[in-house]
Amino acid sequence: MNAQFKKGVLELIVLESVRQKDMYGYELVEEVSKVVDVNEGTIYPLLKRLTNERYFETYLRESTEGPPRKYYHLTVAGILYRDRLEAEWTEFADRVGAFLQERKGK
Amino acid sequence: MLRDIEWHGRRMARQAADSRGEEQAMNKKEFLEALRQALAVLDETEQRDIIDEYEQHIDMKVASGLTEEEAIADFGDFNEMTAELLEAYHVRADYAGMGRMRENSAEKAGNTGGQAQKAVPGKDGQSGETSGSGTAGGSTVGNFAAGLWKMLTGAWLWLWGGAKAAVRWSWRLIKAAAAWAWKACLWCRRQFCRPFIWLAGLLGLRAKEAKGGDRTDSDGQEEQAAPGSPGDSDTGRTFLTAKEKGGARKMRQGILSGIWGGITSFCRWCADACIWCARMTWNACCVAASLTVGMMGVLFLFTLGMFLILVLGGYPLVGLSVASLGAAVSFFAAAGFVMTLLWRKKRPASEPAAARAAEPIAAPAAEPTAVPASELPAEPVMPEETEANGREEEKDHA
Repeated sequence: MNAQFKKGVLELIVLESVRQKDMYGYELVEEVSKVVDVNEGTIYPLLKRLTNERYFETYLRESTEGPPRKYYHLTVAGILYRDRLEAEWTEFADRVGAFLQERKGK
Repeated sequence: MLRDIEWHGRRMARQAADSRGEEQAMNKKEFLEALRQALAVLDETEQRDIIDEYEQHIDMKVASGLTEEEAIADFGDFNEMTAELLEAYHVRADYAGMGRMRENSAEKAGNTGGQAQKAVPGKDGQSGETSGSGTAGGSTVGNFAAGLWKMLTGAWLWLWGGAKAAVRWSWRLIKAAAAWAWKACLWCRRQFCRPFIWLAGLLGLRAKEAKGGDRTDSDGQEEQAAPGSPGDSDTGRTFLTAKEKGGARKMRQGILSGIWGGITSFCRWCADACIWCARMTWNACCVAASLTVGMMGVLFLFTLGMFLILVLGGYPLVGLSVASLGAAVSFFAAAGFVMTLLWRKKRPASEPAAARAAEPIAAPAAEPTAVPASELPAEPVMPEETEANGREEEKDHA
């Protein structure tokens, strides 16, 4: 997939993944990797940015397999932001789809 | 120092490898060290947080069967990753590092026939600037900008530390000044009261001495006033014996006692009046100051209400509302403080409540200064009477 496409939708995918349930970094990377093939290094900066912008809040939870894991939780602001991104994405995809269909018809 | 030199050596080697288009694999320790160096501009806690997360990720990858090098390679380009991490904190990556990344990207783009330009991420994640690749001028400007950036970052950290220290010292200074002001107020009040209390004590003592002298004279026993004693100075240095008792003496004694009693009563009344005036003046000043400050508090309370209404109306006046609330609370606190400086009458704590209740009844009988010595009873003073006189004297002192 085109890298610019990935970059555009990565935020939405991450927000949607965390909306379902709280996740830690590695788990989130694996979840996102199911949808798009991205460098794992890009996920952590994105998580950090969304946390700094108060869309995520984090907490530590003990793990049986090692040190405590940092879990990401979607805040109310994050939910609103995710809804807005989804609406924008839907509109964008619809318009592009309609344009392509229109061109195909011609 | 040696570690920094070693790290820079490795970094230069990696840059050289990058420039040759090779990818040099790093192990976990090297990667985390390089990450720490790249994020050195961030707060220590944030650095630790990020490094821990990456370390945990690598450990999990290794646990799933990958090698450290493979796990690190999955992160992608190191410089891009650190640039994005710094961008998350609205910090531009080191310009030299970004310049190198830009050159590498441009080189790759040039190889693929693309346009040899790449945008440097700006503060808001938008394109900060674009420049051509491989120009000598760009490198010089890059070095200058990197130096400038480091200087600005250092200055900012220095200023931030200085501001924190200034706030901490200001708070200590304010506390010390408040304690000093409180002590100064108490000292002023004590100094203001001191002359009146001294005067009252002095007059009360004289009155007591005078009463004691009269009472011993009336006992009918042989008595001689010692030179320099209070009775000596008050009665005009007279020697009294039982044989000299007579009508003339009694009359003289009565007149002198009456005059002295009148003088001491007048002096005590004057002292009481002075003390009362001083107390009223002081208290009036305190109440006036308290009322003034309290009115200011009410004014700020009114302002707060007005601002709150405007805030509810959508005006951005939250800061002013908070400031008004703070001012109102401060003024009310100041009014309360001024009221604590009121000069109140002291009551003896050791005196039982029953004795205080019976005092108005016993007081008229215990007024020896107003009675001439000739009219005093000839028999010795009864213990009850002595106690009543003692209480009266204590009351006079108070």
